[in-house]
Amino acid sequence: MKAPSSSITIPDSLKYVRNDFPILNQTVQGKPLVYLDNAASTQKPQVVIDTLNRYYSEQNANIHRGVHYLSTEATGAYEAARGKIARYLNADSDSEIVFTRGATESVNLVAHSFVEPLISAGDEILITHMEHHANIVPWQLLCERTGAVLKVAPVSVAGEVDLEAFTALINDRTRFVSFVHVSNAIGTVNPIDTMLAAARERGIPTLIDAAQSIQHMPVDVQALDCDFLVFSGHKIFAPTGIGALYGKAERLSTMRPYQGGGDMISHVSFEGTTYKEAPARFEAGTPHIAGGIGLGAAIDYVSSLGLEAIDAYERQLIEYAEEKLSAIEGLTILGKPAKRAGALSFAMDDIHPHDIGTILDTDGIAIRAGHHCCEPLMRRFGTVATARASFSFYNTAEEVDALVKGLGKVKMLFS
Amino acid sequence: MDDKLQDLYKAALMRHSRNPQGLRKLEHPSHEHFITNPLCGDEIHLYLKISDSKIESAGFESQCCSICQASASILMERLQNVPDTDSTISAASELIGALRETGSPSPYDSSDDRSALFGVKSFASRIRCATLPWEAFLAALEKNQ
Repeated sequence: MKAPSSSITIPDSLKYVRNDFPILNQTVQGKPLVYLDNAASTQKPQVVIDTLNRYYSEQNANIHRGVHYLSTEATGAYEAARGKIARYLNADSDSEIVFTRGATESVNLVAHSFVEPLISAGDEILITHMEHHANIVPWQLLCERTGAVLKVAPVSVAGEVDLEAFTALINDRTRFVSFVHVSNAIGTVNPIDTMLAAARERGIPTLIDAAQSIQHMPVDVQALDCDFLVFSGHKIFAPTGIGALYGKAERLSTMRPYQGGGDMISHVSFEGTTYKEAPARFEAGTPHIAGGIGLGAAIDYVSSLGLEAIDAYERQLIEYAEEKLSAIEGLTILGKPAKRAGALSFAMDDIHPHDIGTILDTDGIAIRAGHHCCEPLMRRFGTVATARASFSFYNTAEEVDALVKGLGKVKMLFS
Repeated sequence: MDDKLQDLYKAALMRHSRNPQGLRKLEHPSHEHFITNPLCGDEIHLYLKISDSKIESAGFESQCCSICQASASILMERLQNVPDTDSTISAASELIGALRETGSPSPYDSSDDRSALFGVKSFASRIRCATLPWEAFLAALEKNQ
């Protein structure tokens, strides 16, 4: 018996949430837009758009450099946003939040400034088989530079990290462990508490890629006791080109600079330059000020809806999607993890995902087709590409129904 | 069915896609090229045996969408019918150019299967699917000159 869409309970805070997103109220190809590509990028609520508009209309100036009114305004708003991120993640202090361009830059920063000085040829870095390329390639580059070895914990056919193998791969040569919280490609929610504990037991520092989790569920860096955590703003309803790195103060304080330039120095002379403390040490040059302030507004917005409400609603929605999609003959969902959030990847008969994506697009339905920047994981499942539907709290059961109907059209065309 | 969609998945394209010509690996090719479209993960490995500018045999392996598969099959069929290197180089360049050029209609007669590829022009993200096998052909020749 298929669950009727009406059985999904919508928390009060989410009942009218679509009205907050002007982009959702449009037609594409003459059909109402059904945006199911949230793992690639989320849409922006009016409050974020207004914040950017206000910044450029009323506050725009460079930060940390001026005594004048606008610079003080901009600096205040930018630093307030840092505080919002710190509170959202329950960091111990605002200075544990480094603004970056996004999760990718955050991982590269940690690889360069924290891990590289610790590592020698033959040392090991441990990741998992379900990482996004952003949590693979920076480590491969580091291994090329240092002669270190990248170890990869296997993933089961259910799409879960093999915890026994993961733990067994941690040894005396392991210098750093980095893994994803929620898989962008298949939606697996990893048991990061257990994984972090395994690394901590041996005193090995850790990084969590939270790019696909902090928009879906509460994340508390102190409770997790991770050393680093990274995310991208545009996946949590903020602009592109901004994100953050959380780093424990004791870690950040030991780290060498990442990029050199203005704003990260204490004094510059040709005899020798000294650097500011964290987080400024890692923020060379004029940052994406509007983006940072917009990220603060996005985080306020998500907090006002409530992560518990978001988590509860999205869990029902993705279960509904899983049930409806599984009922389509010839459709296979990749993996069956104990807990899933955000994304579902699927294959249908032998129809290429790119064809599925185009046909759905003509019905105004946006999904992602491809390898989702997870080529190793795709190969693990014996494929090069999948179709992926990824959800946010503004998606509805009716949109899942539209997806199912669209997939029926795909089957008809290719039968 | 949507008009643009019908135009994209024309009967000739679907015929090639379902029963592709030359879908096989060639042993000991004189020329070969592996090409991918990182946007969607399409992969084509093209094999050619060329002697004195004459294409003696051709084949391809693929993991790709229907449009890319059909385009490769159309290329294979052409190589069978017109096994001449130089004229296929011109034909490949012409087809790629016509597919990429904004707004231009198909220069081919509707009886020519190449015209079936021009439905991609309404779908900007799919143009590369149609050009990929022909790009592989040009790259294989350039690489092994």
